[in-house]
Amino acid sequence: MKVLTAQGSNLKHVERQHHRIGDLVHAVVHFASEESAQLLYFGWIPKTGGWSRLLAVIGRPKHALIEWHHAAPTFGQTAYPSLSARWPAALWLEREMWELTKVLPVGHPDLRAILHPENQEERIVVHGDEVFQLPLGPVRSDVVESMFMRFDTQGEQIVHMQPELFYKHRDIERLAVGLLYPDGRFLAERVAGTSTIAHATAYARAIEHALGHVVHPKVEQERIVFGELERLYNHAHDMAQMASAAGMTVAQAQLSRVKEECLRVNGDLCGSRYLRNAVLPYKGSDVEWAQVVSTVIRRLRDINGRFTQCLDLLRRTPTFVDRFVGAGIVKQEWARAYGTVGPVARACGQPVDVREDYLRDRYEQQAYRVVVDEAGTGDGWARFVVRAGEWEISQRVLTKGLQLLANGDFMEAGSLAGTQDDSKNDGFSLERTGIGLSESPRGRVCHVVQLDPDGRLAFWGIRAASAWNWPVLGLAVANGNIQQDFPPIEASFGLSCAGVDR
Amino acid sequence: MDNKSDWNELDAEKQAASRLRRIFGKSLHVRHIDVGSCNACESEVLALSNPYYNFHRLGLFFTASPRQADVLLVTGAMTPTMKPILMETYEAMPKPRLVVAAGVCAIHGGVFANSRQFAGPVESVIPVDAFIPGCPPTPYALINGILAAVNGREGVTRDA
Repeated sequence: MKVLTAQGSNLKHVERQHHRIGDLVHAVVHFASEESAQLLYFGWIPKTGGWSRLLAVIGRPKHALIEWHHAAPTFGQTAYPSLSARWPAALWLEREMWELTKVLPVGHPDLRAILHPENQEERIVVHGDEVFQLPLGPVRSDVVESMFMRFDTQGEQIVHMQPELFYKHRDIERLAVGLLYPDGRFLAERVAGTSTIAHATAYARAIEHALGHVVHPKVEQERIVFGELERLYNHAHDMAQMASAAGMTVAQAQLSRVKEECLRVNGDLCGSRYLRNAVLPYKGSDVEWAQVVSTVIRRLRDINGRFTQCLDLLRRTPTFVDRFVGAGIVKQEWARAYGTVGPVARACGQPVDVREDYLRDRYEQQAYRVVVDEAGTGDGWARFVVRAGEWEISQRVLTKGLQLLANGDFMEAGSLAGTQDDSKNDGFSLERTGIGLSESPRGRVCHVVQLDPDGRLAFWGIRAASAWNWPVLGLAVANGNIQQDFPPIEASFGLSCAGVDR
Repeated sequence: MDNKSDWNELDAEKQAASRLRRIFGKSLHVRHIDVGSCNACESEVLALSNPYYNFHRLGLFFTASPRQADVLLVTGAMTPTMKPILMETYEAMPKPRLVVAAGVCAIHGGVFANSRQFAGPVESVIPVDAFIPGCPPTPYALINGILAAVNGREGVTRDA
């Protein structure tokens, strides 16, 4: 079996240095209207101590480009024109940046403290007769993560909903500063436990990119396989939650059984049900693929049978379908403006997917294709259909990927040490800085790292998938739904708090 | 690599379960609270109710409100924001009440122990009856830990 060479990617990194932060914001706003341009990262990064540079990383998959825009503030600068005033995707980011650095984004609509919700003053948005405010959380029913939601309702109608996160802000990014990069992965795996592989992969790729290294194709192939294993159990979990939200107890039990079986496959494969210690910077895993692949494929086939049968039954259950059709519609312009990712974006007809946008060469030999809702309805049902389609594709990618790992002749691709990365342009002035992207089950995960000369982390920025989708949940929930629609909508979004809170 | 559980192992669990009935009435209701976890613990706690572990067979149930709870199952590295919320939740529970700290983060902070946002182990805020190590602890370990908490309190009175 032929495998790709290490230098399969034609993605280029280009640096654009701006004299003033205002110019940077102006240049970045331009991309808000460019179709398929993505805001990958936006925030302050240090340059030899202190917060001294504003960095915006823009992905332009159509042009196979990642653009690094950065600018230093002038001496004593305490304000800059807000990006989110023109591109709402940066709303929560700029709130966070304001709280950390006290450099004012002029024109930002809401600058309440975000990282410390206990200090956050209440903001009443809806006024009028019969308006009732319903607080929910941080301790609420079912086994869920701690977060808070404030509903403004009029009768049963939800008029407005604000999610408040960061109850579990663990300050991972600053905790990691000074750690040697091989140790940083323990934290990377625990940014979001159910996206262990996605974060570990993004972290490993960022470190390798920073140090100008491309790992051997076999290592990348393992990352792909682990990533899809992670997607399977997460999608089974999300489907189980959707069944539960619609009161389908039997389906919920069956789907949580599927999830458990997926977790057991993971546990037997690499010793951890959540695939910890499987993805490391520079290194592959210890799994002896040739010995386990046939068993794993057989077990996945069994699981797949149960899962598809259960979904077929759900598709033909009107009381289930009715709860999701037309519920929690995300308008296409919101999906675009807020930079939504993952199944939420793909249910709006937007083919946003790291695997397709930035890693196509690695995935295409495994018959991968993006699942999008062509009509772009963006309701709960579309998210169900997209996840169901992704499950199917994941099965296919896994089967091919596992066979490739067991039988592929990777020696052809050169020594196991990997090769030099030459994707950065000449004279790239941000030294030992790199970006790592991966597609978690919830969408794009992006890590930006900067290393000091000893190989210690000088800066680490984490953008989890849910961070892009949370602000849109509020809009979708208030989009003509009633209180009883909320559980199905929340389940269909399938968001996580841990990755956003960091 | 097969998925069958060894049901003979469960006798010990059943004995513990019958003891808990004497103290807490017919069943034990568990309220879970996340004080700063990475979501893997929640995933494992949720697995307790799936058909493989089915902790309902032992008379264990999740409950929505701390006011109806007998056990507080705490996961995660406690953040300063969650500290007062944890105390409030504990205060809202009727006596007798048990506390189980699940996962290394709840026990001593785990990898987040040096974070500025780590407010201390769960035990520094409320009394803990059982600790369940693991990152994350497996569902069997969780069941075992909850039953161990009950066993350790066999002599409890109603106002403990």
